[in-house]
Amino acid sequence: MTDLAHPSPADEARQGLRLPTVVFGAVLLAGLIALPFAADAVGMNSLISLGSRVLIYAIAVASLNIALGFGGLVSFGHAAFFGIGAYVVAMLSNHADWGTPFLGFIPGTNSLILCLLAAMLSAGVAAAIIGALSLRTGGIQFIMITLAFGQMVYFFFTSLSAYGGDDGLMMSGANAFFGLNLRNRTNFYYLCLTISVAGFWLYWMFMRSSFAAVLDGVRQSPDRMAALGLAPTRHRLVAFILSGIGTGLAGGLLANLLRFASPDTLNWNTSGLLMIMLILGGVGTLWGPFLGALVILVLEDVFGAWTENWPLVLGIVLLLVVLNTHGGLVALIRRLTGGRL
Amino acid sequence: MLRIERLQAGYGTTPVLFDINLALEEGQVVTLMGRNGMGKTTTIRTVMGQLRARAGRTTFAGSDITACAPEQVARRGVGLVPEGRRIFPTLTVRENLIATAANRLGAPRPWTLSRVTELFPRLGERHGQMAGTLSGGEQQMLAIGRALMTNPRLLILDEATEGLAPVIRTEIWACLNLLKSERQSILIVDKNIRELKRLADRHVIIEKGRTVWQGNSADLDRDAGQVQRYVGL
Repeated sequence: MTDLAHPSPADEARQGLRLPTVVFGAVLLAGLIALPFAADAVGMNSLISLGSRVLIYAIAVASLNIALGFGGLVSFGHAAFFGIGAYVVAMLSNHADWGTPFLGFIPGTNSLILCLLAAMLSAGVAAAIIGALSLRTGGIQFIMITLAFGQMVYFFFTSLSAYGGDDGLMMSGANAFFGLNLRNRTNFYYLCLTISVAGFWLYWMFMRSSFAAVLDGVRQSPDRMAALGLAPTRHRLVAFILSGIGTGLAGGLLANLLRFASPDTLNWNTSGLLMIMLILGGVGTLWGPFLGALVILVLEDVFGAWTENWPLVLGIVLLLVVLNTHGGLVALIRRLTGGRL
Repeated sequence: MLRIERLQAGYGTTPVLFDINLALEEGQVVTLMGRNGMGKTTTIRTVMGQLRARAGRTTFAGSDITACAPEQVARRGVGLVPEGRRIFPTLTVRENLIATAANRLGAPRPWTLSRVTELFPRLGERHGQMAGTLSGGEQQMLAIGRALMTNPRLLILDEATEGLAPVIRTEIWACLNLLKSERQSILIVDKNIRELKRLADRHVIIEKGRTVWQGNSADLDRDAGQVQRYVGL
């Protein structure tokens, strides 16, 4: 049953560039640009890395939103695309170091652009394969089959002893990008910010597109959409692939940030984490992915320093938000500002 | 244009349609009548490919569509206005109309947002409104407008005026008459025999999944007793 009181996908985007949205976006962007200076001033350099992680996770969560928020595809396998992105970057970089081609014919590279493109391409291909098979099902079966695929990818990568196996794959350094030193956390943060802003703009364009409206329609009733001449499965598959590509990009950036591809990125916990971020921020919303990633990573950072059991705090926050806001933090902010934001 | 021959279909192990026969020529309006539960909606669902035919054949514009998926049937030019005003509630009126709009068969005078708005001025006033917040009548107009925006060669309406206020019904009948005057082919399921007699070229009555009577409006008057028995109005 559709609840009209709740924000709908594209709800914010369809309103166009309203002044409060522009102001909010501008203030947010100014804050994000100023973050490294502020962190330097207060002597908390770790905030810069935290900022990069928030941006990276926001890209992954926004990508998940395309599948989950718009397509209604509750994917429990998005860690696969996140991890594939990370591993592809780490593998190509390592092959560049070793001077041997990947699979015997793909030359390694340390170029950030090539590595990220390869990460997106690989994650997209994986999403196409997993999506084509999973989309034959729906509901609980879809959740389980995406989870199964995610775990298969996890075990596949952790069994590759040449690439670190269970220990993950270290990178000797971050990728190269026009002579910029990406080991410098401020440089890397601004790179993430640039990619995030570009990604956010694409995401906004997507939300305003007919394709998003069709996806929203398919989520509401695939039969109705089919009777109007549009194949529901094909649209869902395209959404799933786009979603995988975005998540792969985020994974590739994370590998660069950590200079390490961790098996944890492939673990189903990561799929759950991305989903929790999305639900906390607001499913199907414009700002939800960013807010969800921000709140959870900050909570992890703050409470993680106090106690190992920080997920308990996260659980309580999630409960409060889900039970009380009916639509995540975005809905809460809307209510608090009387719908102006 | 549409030909249904000895069509059989059902749900699970329960057969519903046993022998449906119907023919509709280009520019014609044909009604499908019968009491509740006799198989009218099931016939439409089978034609649309939402339900698999167990036997028989449906051809549309010369090609066999019996085994086609719903989107393939729609892409060949069949536009459905489903029973119960099934619009997309969380899309705006405009998005409902535009998201699925297409002119796949190259209609010479395609339907546009402004033409639909001309037909249903109420929709024009509510372009930016969530479709789920429209009144029942407006939702029905939107469902018809949405189907027209796919520029169908055949428009199928399932209970298009059911449960609507009289003033809205009048508007919808007027719109259907206008569509007919533009030679839009229509297959319609409804219970308002008086309006159907005025609008339609042919009538088909189904009873317990079988076509039991066919004729034009004059035949309908002539066989009033028999029709009364089948339609029960």
